[in-house]
Amino acid sequence: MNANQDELTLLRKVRDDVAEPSTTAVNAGRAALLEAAGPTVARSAKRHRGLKRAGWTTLGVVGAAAIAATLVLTNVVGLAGWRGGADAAAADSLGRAAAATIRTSDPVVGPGQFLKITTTAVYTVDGEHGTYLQSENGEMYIPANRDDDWVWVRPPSEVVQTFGSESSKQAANDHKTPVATEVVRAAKGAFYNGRPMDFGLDALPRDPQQLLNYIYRTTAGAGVSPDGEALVFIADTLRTGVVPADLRAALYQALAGIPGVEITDNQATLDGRTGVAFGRDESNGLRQEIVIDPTTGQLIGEREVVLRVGVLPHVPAGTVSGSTSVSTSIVDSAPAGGTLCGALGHPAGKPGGGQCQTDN
Amino acid sequence: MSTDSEIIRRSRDSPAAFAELYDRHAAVIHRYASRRIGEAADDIMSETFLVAFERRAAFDESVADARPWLYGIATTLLKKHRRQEARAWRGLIAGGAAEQADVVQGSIDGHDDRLDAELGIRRLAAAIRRMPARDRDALLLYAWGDLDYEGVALALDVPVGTVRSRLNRARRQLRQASGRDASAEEVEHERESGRADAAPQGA
Repeated sequence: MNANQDELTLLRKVRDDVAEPSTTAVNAGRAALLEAAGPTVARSAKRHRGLKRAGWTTLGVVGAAAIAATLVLTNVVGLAGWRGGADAAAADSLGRAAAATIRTSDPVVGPGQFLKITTTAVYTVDGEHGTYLQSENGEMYIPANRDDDWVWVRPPSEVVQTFGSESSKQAANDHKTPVATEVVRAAKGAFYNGRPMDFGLDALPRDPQQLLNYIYRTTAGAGVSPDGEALVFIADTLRTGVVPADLRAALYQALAGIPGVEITDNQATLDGRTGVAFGRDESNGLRQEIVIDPTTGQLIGEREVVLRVGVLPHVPAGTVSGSTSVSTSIVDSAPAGGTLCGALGHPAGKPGGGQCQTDN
Repeated sequence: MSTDSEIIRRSRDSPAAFAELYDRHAAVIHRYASRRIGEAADDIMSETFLVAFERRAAFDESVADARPWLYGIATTLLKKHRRQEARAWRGLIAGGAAEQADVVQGSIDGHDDRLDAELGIRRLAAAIRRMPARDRDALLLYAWGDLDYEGVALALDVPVGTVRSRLNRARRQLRQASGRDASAEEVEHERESGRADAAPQGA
C-alpha cells in the first residue's frame, strides 16, 4: 500500500461513491414514518397492523405502508417485460413450476406445532492468505401463533472445502477458536431485539410483471448487472423458506421475465435433492442459480457457480462457491432455551429498541 | 435551528414533528447502510426511523445530536443482513478491478498509486469481512459514520474504553492486512503519524 495511505484513509474511500437514496425511497420512508406517527394510531391498533403485515423479509422489502404508498405509481411502468425475458425452455419450465406451486397448498401448522425451516448454506470466505468455503446452517422454528416465541438455532460455521495449502492454513487459523451454537429466541421473530422478522412480504405485488418492476426498482444500482441483481433478489427472498405459495409462484414467473435466464443444469443436486437450475452468467465470472423441482414447484435452494479460473484464487471453474438448501417441515416442539440477542449479548435499552450489547 | 433532542422532545406531543429528524438524517443513515449492505439500505433507512420513533421516549435528551443513537439502531438492524454484507465485501475482494478503480479514482493520482490502492482495498475488505462483528461495527461507525469515540460508544451503548479497545483491535488487523508493521502498538502508531482524524478521547 502507498505509504501516504494509512488504512483508515483508504477505508474512508471505499464505497465512497454510493448513490443517494432515490426520491421514491425517501418519500416512502417518510410516508411510513408519518403513518406510524399518525394521531389515530393507538398502541393496540399498531400491534394489529403489524400482524396483518405478517410475512418475511431479509432483503429489499420495505415496510408495507411504504410499499402501499408507492406501489400504484411505480410498479406498472419499469424494466420488466419490454426487453424480452428468459429463454423459451426456462420460461416454459418456470411457468409449469408456478402453476404447480399454486395447486399445492402450504403446510398447515396446527396449534402448538411449529414450522421448522432447515437451512444448509455454504459461502466463500476470502481470507488474507487463502479462500475457502464455510458452512452457515440454521434451524428456525416458527410457532403456529406468530405472536409467540420463534426460536433460531445457529450452529457455528465449519470449514467445508479448502483449495490448496494456503487455503487450508487460512481456514484452520480462522476456525481455531471454538464457537458455541447460538440460540436466539424472540416473540414474533423480533430477533436481536429488533423489529419482527415477518414484515412486508404480503405487501409485495402478486402480478409477476409488477413484482419484477418492483424488484428492478429496489435493486437499482446494485450488483454486477440489473438482471443479475434481480435474480439475486429472487434467490435471497426464496431461500428464507417461508415465502407463501402465491408469492413463490409470482417470483418464479418474475424469474421467467429476466433476460438471459436459462436452464443451466437439468439435474442440479443440492443437499441430496435434485431439480432444475435456472441461472444467468454474469461478467464477473459467477452465476447465480435457483434450483426448483419443476413438477411440484417446490424450491430446493439456490447456488452460485464459479464460471472461470481466476475469479476466486485457486478455485477451479465449476466450483459451487455458495449455496443454500432449504427444507421445511412441521414439528411438535421447538428447542428450549435461547435469548433475545443470542451471541450478540443482551438487549440494551427498551424491548424492541433495536439494541443488543455485550459486556466486553 | 432546533437541536435533535428538541425535535424529539416536541415529537412526544406532536408525533409528526419526528419527520423533521428524518429529513435531517435519513440520507446519512442511508449512506452508511448502503456502504455496508448495498440495495437493502432503503429498508434500513425506513426501519431505523420507525424504530427510533417507537423508542423516542428512551432517547437521552441531554445529548443534543441524535446521530449516534440513529446509527446505533441502524447498526443493530444491519445484523439481520449478515449475508448481504458478506456478499458486498466479497464483491470488493473479488469484483472487477474497474469497479475498485472507480472507488479511488479522482482521489489518487497516478497509475501505480491507483493499483496500490486497489490492492489495498482488496486486503482491507478481506480483513473487515473476517473481523468479529463487534469490532467491525465500531470500525465502520468510526470510519463511515464519522462518529468520534464517544459517538461510537453512544451508538453501541458501550463504554468509551471498550470502543477504544475494539478500534485498536480492528485497526491492528487492517494494518496486518495491508502489510504494515503488525507489531506496532496503537499508541505508537497514533503518535508517529500525527493523525489528523484521531478522535477526541475524553470521558
